[in-house]
Amino acid sequence: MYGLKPVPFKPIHYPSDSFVAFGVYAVLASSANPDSVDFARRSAFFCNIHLDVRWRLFLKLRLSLLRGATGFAPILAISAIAQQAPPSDFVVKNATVMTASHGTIQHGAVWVHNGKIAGVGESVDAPASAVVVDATGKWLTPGIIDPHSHSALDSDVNEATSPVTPSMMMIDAFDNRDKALYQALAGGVTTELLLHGSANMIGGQAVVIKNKFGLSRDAMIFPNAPRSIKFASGENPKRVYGSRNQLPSTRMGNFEVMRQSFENAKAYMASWDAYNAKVAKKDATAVAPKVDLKLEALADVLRGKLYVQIHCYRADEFLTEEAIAHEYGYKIRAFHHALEMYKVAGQIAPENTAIATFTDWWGYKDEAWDAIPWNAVMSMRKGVRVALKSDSNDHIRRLNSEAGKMVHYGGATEDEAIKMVTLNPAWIIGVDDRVGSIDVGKDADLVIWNVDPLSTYARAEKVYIDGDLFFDSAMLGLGTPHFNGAMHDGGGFGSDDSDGEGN
Amino acid sequence: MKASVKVASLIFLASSFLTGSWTVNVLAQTTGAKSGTLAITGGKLLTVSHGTIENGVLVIVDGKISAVGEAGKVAVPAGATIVDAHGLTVYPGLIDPDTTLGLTEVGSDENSNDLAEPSDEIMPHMHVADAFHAETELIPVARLNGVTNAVIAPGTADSVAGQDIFIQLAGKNREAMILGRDVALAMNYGAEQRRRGGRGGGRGEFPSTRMGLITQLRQSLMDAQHYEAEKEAAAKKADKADSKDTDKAGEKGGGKPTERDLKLEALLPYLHGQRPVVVGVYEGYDVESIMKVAQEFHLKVILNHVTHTQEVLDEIAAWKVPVIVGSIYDFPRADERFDAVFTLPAELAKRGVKIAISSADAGGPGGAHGVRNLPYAAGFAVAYGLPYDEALKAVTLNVAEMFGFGDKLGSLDVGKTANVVLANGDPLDVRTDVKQVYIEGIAQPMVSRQTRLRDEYGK
Repeated sequence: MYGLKPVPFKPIHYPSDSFVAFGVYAVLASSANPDSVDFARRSAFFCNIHLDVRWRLFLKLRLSLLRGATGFAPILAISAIAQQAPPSDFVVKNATVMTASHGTIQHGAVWVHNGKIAGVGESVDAPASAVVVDATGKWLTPGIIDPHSHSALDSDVNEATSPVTPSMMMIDAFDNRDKALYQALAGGVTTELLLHGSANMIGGQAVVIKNKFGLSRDAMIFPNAPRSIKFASGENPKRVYGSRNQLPSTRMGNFEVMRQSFENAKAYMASWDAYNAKVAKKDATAVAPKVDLKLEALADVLRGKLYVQIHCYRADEFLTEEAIAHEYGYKIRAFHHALEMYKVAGQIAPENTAIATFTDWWGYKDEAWDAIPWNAVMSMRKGVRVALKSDSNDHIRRLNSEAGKMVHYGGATEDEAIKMVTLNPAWIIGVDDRVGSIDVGKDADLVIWNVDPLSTYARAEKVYIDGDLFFDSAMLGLGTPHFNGAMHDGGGFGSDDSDGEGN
Repeated sequence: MKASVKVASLIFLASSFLTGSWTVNVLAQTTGAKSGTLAITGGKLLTVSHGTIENGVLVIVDGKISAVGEAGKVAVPAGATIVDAHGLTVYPGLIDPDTTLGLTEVGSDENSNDLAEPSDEIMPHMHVADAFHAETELIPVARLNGVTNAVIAPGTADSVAGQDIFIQLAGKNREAMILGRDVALAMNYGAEQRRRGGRGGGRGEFPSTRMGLITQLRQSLMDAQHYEAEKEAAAKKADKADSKDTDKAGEKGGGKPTERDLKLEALLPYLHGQRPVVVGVYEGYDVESIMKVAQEFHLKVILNHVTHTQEVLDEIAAWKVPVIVGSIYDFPRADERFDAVFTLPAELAKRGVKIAISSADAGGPGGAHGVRNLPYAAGFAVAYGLPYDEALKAVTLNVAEMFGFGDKLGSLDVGKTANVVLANGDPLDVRTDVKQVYIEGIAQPMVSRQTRLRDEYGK
């Protein structure tokens, strides 16, 4: 064994037949007897459900024989469903706390009160009644935040029927039972920005979710998060429309489509301004212009009501995009992918535009040919706010160790690296005042890891969102206290192009 | 760090001696260069074959390991170049058991891809050696993370896709890099290969189902057996060429020589079990189907992928076939536990199966670009229960053994090729930085197209 010893992995042992009988008995007992909490807890202990958060869980063990897609050997899954609210106070103690905002605290503690972080430090002033979670030897981080995901959108990522589709609302495609959400949750991901794809120069409007897998669709929406819109540039739009002999088929065409769209939006805004002026003057001849959802959305971009998130790879295109933004008076919140940012980071940093980039993807297309894994750290050193993102149902499950690569590629400190998958993506989404770091007053979105989350060996052991436990790897079956149904398989890779060809 | 400064200066020396310009440097050289005598001292040696040596000495003479052991117990030859590896980890170069390195450059650019020949499902006569692009920019990128060897296999479109090569990630040209041609036959079985008729967009041609694929494969293997029998018969007749025998056609001697059929001929070494067939298969029931055919024809099987075979792991163990796991990042099915695939290497190893781990898709779309992530795929298996030593073996010695290079590569042992890596920590950890790679004892320039871009724009 190499010097760095990961905490030994303890595989879940699925219960034997005799235990299945015992579990069924537990269900019967729990439904029959209001005092069965302890009984259920004992039975839970028996099957290796580790209830070190000693909440007053009313456990109902639900046994279901779930069959794989091929109908082969049934896999036993047990979901323990928490039916009561989480405790009003609990404290995670003795953890290595990576705060993401103010360094790492060895043997730190975090106090959660009513779903918010109420204290963080070497010690906290929690009430004596607070439930204690002993995290000795473990790491605690803010929940991982992915600022670029297409999970849970089935194959509805791209409305690739026009290069300008700003009124598409990704919420309309959001499938809250997609297995990709569960797998991301098991990787410690608590917040995601679900974006339109990159087929269109101006795509649709994103939805921000909290990954409360098992709750209703509405309960998974991040409350009052800013609205974001997805733009794209480069190869994808020109390939999609060029292959149909439509505009755009070149980068010239790409950008001109954008400019014309904003000119249309300006004319639309002017028509409404004229109408409103007439109304203000009580002019009886005032006739309201037609509401146009597409132009209304573009007008909101010009009004600064939408965060602009741009899929963009090449250095020259960052500069063009910034120039167009200046010309029409909006701000670019972040460039996504941004693989060539290292070439022009010094010019982009003063714009206060962040990047959401891959760690080390490259070479899958021409505009990814100059990608280098040092991009993130080099851009950060030039003053650009850098986040790492998945754009993938695969990588979203291990953004923590992707961040660890930044220690290798460019020598980021561990605090800088963890910020790239927590606080910085929170800023890109516009929710950094509520999530992304372990600070008093923020939502208690927390992950307990077996080892340093930046190492290859890290596994998320417990994931809390708003102070509630949504994933516990020690639980039998799926490890999801709030989920007890059937997952959907949205299929695909979860990338920008639903055909998986591009990113 | 002191050690890395020394290593860095050594890189500089190696680079300046070898070539005049850095563009050529990237094509690391072994041919014609002699490693001379080298002693890597003070490092932590992960031998793979015989444990860890905390303060070790590794001696390299003319490209081969000539001594390995604890400091003080191994004589450092007089005149040896000393490489101070204090604070560094020293381990054998990693070997990727399944990649398309050298068959692709830019993923979306068809002209730069030579992955598979999809005109027929049975293409055993496709030789990867014929398409392997030694000068690819992808090789130095992979090498920088300590990958020194790889099995290059064709894409997965065909039931029988062609024959693999075993390469070394250094050398002046293709000949210097290919250590073994046609080392294995790449086969695939499952949904993907029934593309012709298959669901959605099929052309209504045979084979459109798994039944069709298996029939076609079985027929091809039998055709090859028949072809061989005919050839042998013709050869016997040819031996009697001087006799007065007359065949049915009235011709004297051995008659017409059998026309060579390269396609069928390509299958023969595999039908004789002389070399392994690597069978890419994902589903448990597909594994069972294809193994029936493999056993019928006595093929020497290495299973590949086996992503959704959790229900037949005991069977796989009973067949005593080695397994390449990859990608470990493949998705579990809906309603499977999140780690159903992550735990696969551990579950196989626990059952005594010899495993290798591939880089497949470890770095995003396009496989071969992610070869540099091979060590992390192995480390990920450790996170999910695979013993560390098994994980390291799965990307070194086990791969070498599966493909017939067990006596030459994969561990720090006397007599083996000196493919050795020096890193500043655990080789399987994402945070670790590889400081120096040796191939045949030659310090490789630690540069790639990407480091050049970094250095150019980092000024």
